[in-house]
Amino acid sequence: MMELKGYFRPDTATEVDQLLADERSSPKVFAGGTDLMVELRTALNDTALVDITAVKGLDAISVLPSGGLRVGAAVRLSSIRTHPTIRHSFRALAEAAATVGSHQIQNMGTLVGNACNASPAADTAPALLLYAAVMNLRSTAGSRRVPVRDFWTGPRMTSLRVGEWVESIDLSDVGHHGSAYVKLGRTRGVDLALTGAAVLVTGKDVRLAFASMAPTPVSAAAAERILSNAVLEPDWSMVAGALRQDLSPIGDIRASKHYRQEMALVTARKAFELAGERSRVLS
Amino acid sequence: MTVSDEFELHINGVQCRVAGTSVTLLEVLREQLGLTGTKFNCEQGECGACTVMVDGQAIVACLALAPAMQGTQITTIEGVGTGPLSEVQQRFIACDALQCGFCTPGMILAVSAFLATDEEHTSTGVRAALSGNYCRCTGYEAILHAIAPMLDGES
Repeated sequence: MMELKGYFRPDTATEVDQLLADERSSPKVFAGGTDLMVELRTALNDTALVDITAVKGLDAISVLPSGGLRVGAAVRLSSIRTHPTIRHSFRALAEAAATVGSHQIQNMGTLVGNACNASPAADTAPALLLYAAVMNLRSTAGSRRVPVRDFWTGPRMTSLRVGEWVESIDLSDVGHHGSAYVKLGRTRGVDLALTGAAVLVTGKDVRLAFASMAPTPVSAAAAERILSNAVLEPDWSMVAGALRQDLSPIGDIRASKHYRQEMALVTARKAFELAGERSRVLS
Repeated sequence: MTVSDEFELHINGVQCRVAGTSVTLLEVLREQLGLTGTKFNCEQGECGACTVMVDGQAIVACLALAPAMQGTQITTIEGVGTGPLSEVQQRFIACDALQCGFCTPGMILAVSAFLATDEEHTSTGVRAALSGNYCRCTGYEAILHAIAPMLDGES
């Protein structure tokens, strides 16, 4: 492995700000390390790691006054998978976390890390779009909030500025709803999504977002309009047409463009049916 | 902390002195402590052959930065069944749940960690818990058969 310039494990968020402000050390935020450690063997040189997992409060999941949920940067994916409030009220997110890698990866990796790595295939990303998540960013220059739809700017690219890091993610309370995440991989084990569809159904609207179908995780706006306006059963051939506008998959060694586009409809439909069933459960 | 510092890790109940900022837990276990029960394989966290327990949770040691493991309780296969063998180990032997044995340490730790959680111990759940442990020999059936009596019943 590459020789690191240093490894730091500060106790406070302010110290993290200061360590990340020292550009000469090429500092990178480290939490679970499941993406970073793979990169460190191949791509990164002369980096210092700033481990945020000892900062007080970052492993907290807390209810906001608005009724939404704040998830700290050190919260592991396994906690997202098992947390009773997330399983009950943000179910697509819990389901998504359960599909990331394996239990070992989920015990190490964090929700915020999955978002910040910004893979177009990030399984938790579509659910973050459904719940209109907001990233709470900070640095020595101050704090700012960025809606998750503006956070991902390209494959593995985010709008984080130099020295900035994500302290937490806020999920909004959408009221009574049903949600689901359906992932298609080559296997049901450790694999990236060929396509992953997350759906949220409330009394008023349907939200639909995808992993692995565009340069970033993406909301399928045209398909959402058709699904939201459908009175009984949606016209799935119209949804298919809308998805061809909304999505721009690539072909790669895992799947062709054509297959991904076909499977986007299949996974969306499965997720829509599950979310719909769940929205009809009264509690 | 700077490169090449020495620090301590708590492994199988013992405080161990180890060195190096830029090393993984897997390297420390195998190269510095001679604990070769934890296997070196894919180095990408996919195969699970390097599974160990940290504070009772299964992780992949190939992706764990050694200095980040300070303050935790680490259990390797050498720390399982040190008196009589554990129930999981005995079931593996009784049911021929291994052939070459390469996946076995990681498999036993992943199963043991799963059984120690308070998630429901269903057959679906254990398959999910073992999805990060590859076995090239057994086809998994003997492994699942070995642990079936330790589950709560069909899901």
